[in-house]
Amino acid sequence: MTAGISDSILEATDIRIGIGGALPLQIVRGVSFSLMPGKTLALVGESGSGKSLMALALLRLLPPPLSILHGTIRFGDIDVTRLGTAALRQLRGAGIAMVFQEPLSALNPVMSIGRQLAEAVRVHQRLSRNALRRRVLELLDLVRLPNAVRQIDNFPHRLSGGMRQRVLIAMALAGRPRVLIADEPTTALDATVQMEILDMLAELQREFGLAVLLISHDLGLVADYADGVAVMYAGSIIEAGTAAHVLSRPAHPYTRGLLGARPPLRPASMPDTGKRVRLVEIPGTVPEPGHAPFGCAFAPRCPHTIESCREAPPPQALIGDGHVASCIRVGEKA
Amino acid sequence: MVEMRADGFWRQYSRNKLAVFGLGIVAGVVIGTLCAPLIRPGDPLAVVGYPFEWPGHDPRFPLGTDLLGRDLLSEMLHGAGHSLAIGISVALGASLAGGLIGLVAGYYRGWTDAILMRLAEIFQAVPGFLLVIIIVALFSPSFVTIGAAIVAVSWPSIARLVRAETMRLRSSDFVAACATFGMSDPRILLTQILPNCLPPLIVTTSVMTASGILIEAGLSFIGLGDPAALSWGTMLATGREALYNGWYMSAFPGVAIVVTVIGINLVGEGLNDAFNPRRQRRGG
Repeated sequence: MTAGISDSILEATDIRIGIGGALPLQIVRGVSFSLMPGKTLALVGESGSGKSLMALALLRLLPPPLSILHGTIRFGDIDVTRLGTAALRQLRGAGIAMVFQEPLSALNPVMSIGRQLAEAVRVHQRLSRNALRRRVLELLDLVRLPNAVRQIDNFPHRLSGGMRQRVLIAMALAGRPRVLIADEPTTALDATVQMEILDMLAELQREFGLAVLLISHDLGLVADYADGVAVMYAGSIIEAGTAAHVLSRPAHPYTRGLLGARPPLRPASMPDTGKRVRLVEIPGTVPEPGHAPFGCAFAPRCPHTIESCREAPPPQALIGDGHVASCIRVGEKA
Repeated sequence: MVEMRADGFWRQYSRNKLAVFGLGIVAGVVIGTLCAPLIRPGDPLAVVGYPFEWPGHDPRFPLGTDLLGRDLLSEMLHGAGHSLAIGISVALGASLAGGLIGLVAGYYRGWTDAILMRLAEIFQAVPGFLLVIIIVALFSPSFVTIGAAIVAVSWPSIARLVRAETMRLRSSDFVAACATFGMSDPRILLTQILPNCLPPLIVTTSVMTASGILIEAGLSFIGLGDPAALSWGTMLATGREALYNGWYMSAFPGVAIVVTVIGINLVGEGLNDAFNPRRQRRGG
């Protein structure tokens, strides 16, 4: 992104994820990005674009047979791709933590939320019973769970979706991580609860200087909460830059397609002009993971495809101020 | 999932009246065992009267005497302890061994799973009772060898049950979430997966207690039991010799075994219903 490499807390370089062996299959095909402390990078894409795999790869938790085939992940001074089991456990939770999409299934149904939270704390800290309880309440306070003292003995199914997600975020924060990966953290929630959770996350981020990797398909969220945006398509980042720049001047036809397929983004401060626009869908479907066409993966669905699009993978073109797009026709069709 | 609150659980359990009845039987047997030294102090194997005293004949021996003149009531009360102890130890031993093996096999899959499950199949391929007889015959029969032999034939079914549950749970989000917090595998297995396996495990364990009592009784009946021990099984074996002129000697321990086993099975069924309210039959 815009700032220098040396200030980043997490940096992925040319990550390729897939199945190795005799018949190699690449699902994530060379993804690079860096996360700054206190900033939010949004990883945007349709399902199947490889964004969730990317998140699991950062924690080295890819389900077999998938593995990181190539590339490096640097967290501070640590090369995550070379860590052993014990060091990885230390990294997970205390370095990089993750919040899942579906808060009900991400909580253990037979354990009270207080105990689950205590378990998450105990992974990284030995505390006395009383200190543990204080820390649990402190975490619940941090995520502003109402009536924390009374909720502590409740089971997950007794809580509302928003409360569950708060508990889950509290669990993620238990190890005092420096990077938080939020994989569609509000997709399962009501719109109003979404805003509350995201506002709270933003506040926590300011307080602790957390770097957040926000994985989402919702460009509206991205516009309001992210500093940087990286748009993924078929396992590659096809456009990246600051949120303001990418959303106001999208360069790649896919990003434009995504923006055209949803109601216009309107900052809360700007009044509704009442103008209605017809939404345009992107024709075709996402290629199956690992079976992206040669050349530009988006070419079969792109309205601007020319012959040379199919001949070689498009290089990244700099559009301005850290804004890059992988499209050979970026210059012509503005 | 089931919320494990004592009051709510009892409400579910007590809906099945037969299960409450079963619990009453089990409680009766346990209380009888615990009170044995109070009701009938002294050595139950001591000869205290004439042999072949029928029940009710001599008020000192409400259940009569056996063919050596020993008090049957005293034998019944003291023998219950041995039968129950073997049933409970076997159930706990098999749950521990089978549970551990099932957790490991289901969580790690691959080679670990293949080896452990083939091992389980070896034990399951031989008829259980036969295997117990062979093991007991190889070693001298005692509480420990008989218990171990019954555990050896009982653990595979528990291992399979726990393995299946573990395989289902390991792919659940909350296990994945725990991994992202840096929780270690043993901790995930014990604090996250095991508690979710407990309902079926508890049900199976209770039923296994009953089958442990039965197998031990069977062993004793054919004369392979612990000769020094007094259990309902050994009483059956002794009474067998007087089946024609003193059938009551076999009838009391025999009926006691049947009733206790039924009681424990009813409790098992009740627990099953209480853990799975959806599978509950109406009325019950």
